[in-house]
Amino acid sequence: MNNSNLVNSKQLLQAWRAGDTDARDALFKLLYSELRQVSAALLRAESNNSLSTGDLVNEAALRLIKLDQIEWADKSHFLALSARAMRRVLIDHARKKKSDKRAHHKVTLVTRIEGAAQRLDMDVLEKSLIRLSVLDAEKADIVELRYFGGMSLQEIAEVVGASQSTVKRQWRVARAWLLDAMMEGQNVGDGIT
Amino acid sequence: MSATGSLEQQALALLETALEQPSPERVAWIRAQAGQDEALIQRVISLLEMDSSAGATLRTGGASRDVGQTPAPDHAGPYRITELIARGGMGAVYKGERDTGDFEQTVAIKIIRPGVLSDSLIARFEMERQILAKLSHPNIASLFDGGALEDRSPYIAMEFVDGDPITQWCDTANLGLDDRLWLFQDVCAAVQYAHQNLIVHRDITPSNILVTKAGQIKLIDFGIAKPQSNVDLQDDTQDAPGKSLASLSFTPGYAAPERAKGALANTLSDLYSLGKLLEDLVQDLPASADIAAIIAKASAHDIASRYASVDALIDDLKNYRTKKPVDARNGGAGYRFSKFFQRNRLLMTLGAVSVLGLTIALVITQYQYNRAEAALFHANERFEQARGLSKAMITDVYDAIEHIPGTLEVRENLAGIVKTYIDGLASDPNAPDNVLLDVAIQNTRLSDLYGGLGVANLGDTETSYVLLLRAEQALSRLLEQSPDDVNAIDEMVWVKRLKSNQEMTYQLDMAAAQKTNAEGLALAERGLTFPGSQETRLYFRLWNSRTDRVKILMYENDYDTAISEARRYREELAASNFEEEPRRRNSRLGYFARLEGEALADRQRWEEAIPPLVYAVSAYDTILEEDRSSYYYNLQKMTALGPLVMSYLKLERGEDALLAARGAVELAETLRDGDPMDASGRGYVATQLEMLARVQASFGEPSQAQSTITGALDIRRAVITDFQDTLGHRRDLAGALKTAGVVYQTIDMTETACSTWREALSVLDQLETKESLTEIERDVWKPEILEHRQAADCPE
Repeated sequence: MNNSNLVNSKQLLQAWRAGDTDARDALFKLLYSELRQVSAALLRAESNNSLSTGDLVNEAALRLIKLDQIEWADKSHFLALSARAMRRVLIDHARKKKSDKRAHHKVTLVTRIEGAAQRLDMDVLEKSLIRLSVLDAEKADIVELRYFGGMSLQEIAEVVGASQSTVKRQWRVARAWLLDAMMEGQNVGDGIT
Repeated sequence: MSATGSLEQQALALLETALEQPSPERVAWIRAQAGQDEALIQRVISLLEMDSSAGATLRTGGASRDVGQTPAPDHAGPYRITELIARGGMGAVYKGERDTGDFEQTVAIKIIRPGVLSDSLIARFEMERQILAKLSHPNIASLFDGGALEDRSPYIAMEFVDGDPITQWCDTANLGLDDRLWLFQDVCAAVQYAHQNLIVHRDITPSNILVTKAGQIKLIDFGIAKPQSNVDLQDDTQDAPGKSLASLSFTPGYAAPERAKGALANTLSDLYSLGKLLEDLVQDLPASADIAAIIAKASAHDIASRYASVDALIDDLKNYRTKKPVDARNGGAGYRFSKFFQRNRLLMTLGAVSVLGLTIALVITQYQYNRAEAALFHANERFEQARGLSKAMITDVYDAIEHIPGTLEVRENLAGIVKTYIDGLASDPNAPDNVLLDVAIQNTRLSDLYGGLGVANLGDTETSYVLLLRAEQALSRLLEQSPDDVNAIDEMVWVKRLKSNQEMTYQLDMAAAQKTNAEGLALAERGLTFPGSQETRLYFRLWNSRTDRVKILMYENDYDTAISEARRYREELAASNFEEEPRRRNSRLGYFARLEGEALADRQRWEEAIPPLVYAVSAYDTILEEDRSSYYYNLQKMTALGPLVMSYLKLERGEDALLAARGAVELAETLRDGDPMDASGRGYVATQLEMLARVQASFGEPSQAQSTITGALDIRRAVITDFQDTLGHRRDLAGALKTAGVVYQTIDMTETACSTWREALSVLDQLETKESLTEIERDVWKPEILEHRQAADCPE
């Protein structure tokens, strides 16, 4: 990350705040590429580090903007955008992994313990999350911020401008709905039901 | 946007409120809230169950962990992990060594990933582990130990088997039929032992049956095995199909056909798998009629035709080995057994079969029911998705971008897609409530897009009004069906408001506007008495309708009532303890102050008009400090500046007037530049330029005034060219010409003034022939212009 990118992203953030959606898209691209880099090691499981998604998002964000030097409203918007970028990175990764897996089939000893319905398939999660956002965008956003962005309930409450207890309730509703939707999606995909 | 009626959205909303209740009361509460809607009740209850079994899934920041591969832990209990054997969706199997040093032992450690099992499934896993620990058989891999890691991931430590899958081993060793049958008999003995201990393997496949280097059979992966009991049967049936951990766990080809239909696993499904395994083991060898018969009987499609137990299979294999006739071939049950034993076995078999038959019938019925349900669900779901998508586009997406400058074109594209769709929806005579509400909402949003007041629009006011009528129609139908539906009332109040505004502004039908406004006000006040109305926007919409009321009173020249109503509302607002954002409150206070000031200015009570107008401008400034790009508040501020400029002008406060007028022009330009396709934007700029020109004519440079007013007239004419059929734009031109005349006369360009007024009169005449002249234009503007012309000695 060079200096010009730092300046650039701050300008983009300001332009976005002023209503320039192109600036937001450009900022998203920057975040996406940063996140891809910082999360690569973790996703390859090369190292034993225990960075959470939230750490990654913060790390990538820090490489673009000194968070403590921007206003809170900007910061929260920025982190929310980072969460979205993180979601993209992880979905991309999961899809790539999935297609790799198909390429060379291998017999595993741990064959049957996983009920297909219980497996957390990123692809199915993503599809379910898109469905949820159609039904209730606010709840889908909270999932994005929490699960992909690693933001705490308190942080999310500040970003979305609701009380912490409201956010928590919405989170629980969203999670229950998603788990249910994912089972449904999984079963259909497996052709078992 | 108000809450809408799709089952899923209702379920989400209901679950959210249910979670506010104490946990034992939730189910009862859900039933009470949902009334007769059994589908909704079931949906919410199933989501509630999902919530309680969610465990640690989807944890904060958990995404990377769920995607990335969890690094191997160093230890699991007393075992040191040495290497990864295999990894699956739910966890991984590692090789481990006992670490305590007292004795050496290599184990296989299966670790379930944190978060993939709910608490109830973890409990089940624990239970199975305890039962498995009791099994001790040379052909079953022993279970040594188990527990949980620090992060609560459950693990089990099993005998480490260094071996190959049975089929592979037989092929590698190039075994003949007899040797293969011996190995198979060992497998059967191990399964029989498990069955005697009430454990079903459930997943007998070659990869779960290993042969060690010493040639010993080891059954592995009883991980999904669970005890045979009535409680359990019940469990499985309820969960079927597909939802329990175990019932999904089978390998196609090896699994008994009834299991694919969601039936519970039992000893006979294991028997079927054994038959399939035998088939696999002998498939490349010369055919044997007896063996083929044994395979056929073991893996008979019809459960009742299979061997009654694994013992019977073992017996028949022995028959084959000892060259006796196999049962499988003659079907006879038992000349080799004593009559007594024979009768008992037969009874047992019959008993088992009938119980099984009953269970299977039940399961199949359940399965078919679920299939029908699922088909319906998916059909509904597709519909919901299509509806949801269109709704998302027109409400969520639309609402999100509505006030963002520069999105007009995007919104136009959205409209085209959605309009076709909702026309189809609305034509359904059996459309349920929630669809009607959607139709209404989407029509309303579309109406905004085509010609909404106060929002960037396409300038097509006719289409806009028609869409509102459609929304009104859909809501009337809905309210006939359910008069107490607060969401419908909420939306209807909004539609009435938009309609009244259009009647007032575009159609200049004041009587219609007042009637519609009164309907909306009454409906809002009625709606606010219903439970649940506080979840809607009714309160805000009541206030919106009240602002309209004041505005309409003003249009109707009933200024005194307008002023007193505005004051009354301001006082009521100031005293109200309704909790709302300061921004909203400011906005509303600003609005009434502005109307009050406008009315006073219209009454030419200039001194009195200034304080409320200054109050309004500062209220909007406060809001704009937070969000400078807000279309709405820029517009509101600009509108408040208009009468303020006029008041300053009349009081001859030239400096103040110039400052305010320039500010208003800037705001108008901001609004216009934000959305170049927005027809209103240009109109605003023209209006503010007209006002500025008047101030400049009196207190500034005459040349400036002249160029300013020319700019305004150019805009007015261009807008008419673009939107020929909207009479309002012609009315605006007439007003602009009238003002321009005054400007020209003030700067001593009397000739130009006269011709400008003449043009103004001819535009008004055109409007009159179209019966679209308002009282103000006919009774105030026209005489005024005529007076001006007379005073200026204009030629006829």
